[in-house]
Amino acid sequence: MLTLIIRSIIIYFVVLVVFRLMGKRQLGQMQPFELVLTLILADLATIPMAEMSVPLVHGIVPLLALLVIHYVITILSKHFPKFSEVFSGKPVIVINQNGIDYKAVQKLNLSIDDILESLRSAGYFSPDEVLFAIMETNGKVSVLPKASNSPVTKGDMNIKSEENSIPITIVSEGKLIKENFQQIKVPEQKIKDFITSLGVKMKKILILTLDNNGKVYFQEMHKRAKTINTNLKGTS
Amino acid sequence: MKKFITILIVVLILAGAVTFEQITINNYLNEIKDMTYELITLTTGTENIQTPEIKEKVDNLKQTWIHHEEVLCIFANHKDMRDLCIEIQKLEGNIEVNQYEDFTASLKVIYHLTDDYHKIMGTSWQNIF
Repeated sequence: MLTLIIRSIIIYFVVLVVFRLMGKRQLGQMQPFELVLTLILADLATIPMAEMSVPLVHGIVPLLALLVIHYVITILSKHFPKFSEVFSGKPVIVINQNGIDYKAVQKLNLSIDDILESLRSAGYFSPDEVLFAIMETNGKVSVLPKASNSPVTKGDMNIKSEENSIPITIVSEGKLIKENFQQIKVPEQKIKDFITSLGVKMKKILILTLDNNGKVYFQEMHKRAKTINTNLKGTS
Repeated sequence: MKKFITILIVVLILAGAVTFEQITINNYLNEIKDMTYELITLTTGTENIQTPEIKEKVDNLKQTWIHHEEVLCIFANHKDMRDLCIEIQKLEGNIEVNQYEDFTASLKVIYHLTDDYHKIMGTSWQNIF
């Protein structure tokens, strides 16, 4: 059994090193060590499932061993930035004020086309629109556009507006979701009274959401949705 | 903190499983191995395997196997355990027809299978790499 644990750890590190050496192209959104874990876990889990002669313990023990090693790496990465650099890499500036940093692009095993593709995904079709582009450790590119290409915000135009609020589901498919009352910070009775005032039976309500600005989104089953502005404002 | 405690529990479970395997499973297999070795020694130099002493020892071996099989199957590959089980079952049949060669051959297979488990599943450099 100890052999299984040691073997799992060794395979984990070998696959991790391979992925780190392959560069960020293969990564997608996960950190390298998370991706390695995902790959191994999927395979480890299937072996005892597919092979009946293999005891379940032989599948569970390596999974638990990997869980522990993953936790240890996460903790070490959190506390020691150098350690995190080794396991996850560090963000790399691929476009700066001087244009595309070709040395950095080559180091990442990427091509100029890859960089242009990432920029397009971020909504910028020319490198000329970009002041800085950073290749993050999860393989995504973050873009800081030049001032002339930044979208205009309400702040720029000095337009005052109320803060957005997340609508909280109060009723879903005829069921009152009491756990959500705390989030919206409106007394339960007040909400119940409001629902009664709608003149619709609870079980006939498909969805009813409420945000902190008192905006209610309400739809009766098999009927059109309505938006109602109420005084049911949250206390926060 | 909650996650730390969970991981700590997982570590303890792993440590427990490893210790249990190292101690209990090794003891079970060693017990079977020792009983088999006794039978090998007892049958060396005699062609008659239908003696009450051999019958009793074979019966003891079978009972010990039945007693430990379930626990062994939790930790060891079921195929390996099945091979061991078949050879133990053969012993009684060989005694009935006094098949000395087959009887000793089965004993040697049982001895090597129990020994092999340590070689295959034990912690050693060869097994790790």
